[in-house]
Amino acid sequence: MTEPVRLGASFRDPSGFVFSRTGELLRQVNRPALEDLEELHKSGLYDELVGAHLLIPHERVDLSLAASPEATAVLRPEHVATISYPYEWCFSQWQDAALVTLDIHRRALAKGMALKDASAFNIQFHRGNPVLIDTLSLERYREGVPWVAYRQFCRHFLAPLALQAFVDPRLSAMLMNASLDGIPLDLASRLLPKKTRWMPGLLIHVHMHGKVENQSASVDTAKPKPKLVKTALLGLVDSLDKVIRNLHWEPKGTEWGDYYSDNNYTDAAMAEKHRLVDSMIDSISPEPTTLWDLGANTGEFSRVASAKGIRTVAWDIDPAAVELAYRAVRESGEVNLLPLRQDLMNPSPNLGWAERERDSFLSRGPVDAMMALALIHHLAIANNVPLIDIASYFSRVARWAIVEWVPKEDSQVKRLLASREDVFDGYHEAGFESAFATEFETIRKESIPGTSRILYLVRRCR
Amino acid sequence: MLDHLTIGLPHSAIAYLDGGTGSMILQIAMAGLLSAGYVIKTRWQHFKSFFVRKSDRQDG
Repeated sequence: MTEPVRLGASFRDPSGFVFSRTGELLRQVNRPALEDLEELHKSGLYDELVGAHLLIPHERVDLSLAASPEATAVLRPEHVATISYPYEWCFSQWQDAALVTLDIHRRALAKGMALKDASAFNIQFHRGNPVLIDTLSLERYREGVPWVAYRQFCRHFLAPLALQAFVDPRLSAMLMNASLDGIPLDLASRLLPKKTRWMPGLLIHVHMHGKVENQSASVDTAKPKPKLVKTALLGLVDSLDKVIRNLHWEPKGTEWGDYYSDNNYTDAAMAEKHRLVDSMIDSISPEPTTLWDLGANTGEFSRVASAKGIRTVAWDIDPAAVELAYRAVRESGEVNLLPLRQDLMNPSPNLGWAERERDSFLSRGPVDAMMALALIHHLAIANNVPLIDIASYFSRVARWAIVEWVPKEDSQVKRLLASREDVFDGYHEAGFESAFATEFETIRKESIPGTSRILYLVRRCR
Repeated sequence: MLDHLTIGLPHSAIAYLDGGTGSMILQIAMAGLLSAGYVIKTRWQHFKSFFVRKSDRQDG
């Protein structure tokens, strides 16, 4: 049996941890958590949460697979196709994750259990739904005890959402990236506009909470403990639920949100591009099971892949585009498409303790295939990345790539060059082909009729 | 204000998370309000259910 490797993020909870062994992800349950796990099943909470697609299902496996002697049980959770982090989520994804967390806690309380933490990193998007992946977050309810996860919930969910709704959609991702354990409430309080102090929910849970968050009182463990009745806990969940639901953000007017209604593609050309992308995906052999669409905008072409049952991620820099893509996924109930935010010029890095808690963008790949449609000019022209470096980067993402060549005659490139000097002597079809030939072999090359653009299907040489 | 407040805080063997003293106090302070709010909400919903039309009422 191979050596178990504990996951970089799984060290805080003495109840157990997650580790991998021969490519399989397992969760070890230690002594203190065994009764909680048994109660989870006995109370019917496990069946209820799994049935409602709120908790990742697991099966119990042999104890001999444990990573260390403290284990009293080993679980094998269902595999999550793509791990994502809150700083990669759009507003609605984050909001849905918040509501799912509260829903789980509420249902748990009804069955004599409770969530002992409320980290946004415990929620993952699995087959279209936000689900709790940390099964050991559920513990038996202890009479009278306040909700220990209240502060974490406000930092990981409420504050970031309020900042997106009232300040700027880009803010939360930036702050969460830098402040991994949620956004400090005093900071959120200071950044939110004054009018939010007149909203009862935000007044209590962010502004007042921000003032007391860092204060400490002398704690006397001999004194009688004040008890919090269950109705107060349920009232707290209701209050937070109401505040979260009343937060809104409409994706309007950001640079790419209106892209598809404002470009030089005729309907016929769009239909042709769809047909070609579809056909090129079919040419990939063996059939791809995973695909990343880089610069996917609202996921229009990502859908061509996901409709074939390919587990697809639609990455885009624009929060509005990701928001629209996610709303469409939610509406149609698609299970194979996950839209996420990513800036390819500054992708998610390794973060957290020992730089191993949250994985970088590239390290969550490679995938079988990738697409770079209407993207190359943004990297090469807008961001000055040499074509050869782009080819090299793409070769690290996937073995197969569908790349759209966008020449200088194209109106989008003209727009990019309108206000700057054209220093891109190497930016032409031959230059593109020779740059990509360093890493890839061209399998198919097709012009998109009605445009000056060309689609390439390439396969990595190595 | 909080410097002079001494309270007994919950102790748990498995609650690895630092709930934050200030956050716990805020919860306790708001407990009455939150509890009342919840009770009122559930009583109101219970009260409303008596006025559901017979045709809308679920059996058993």
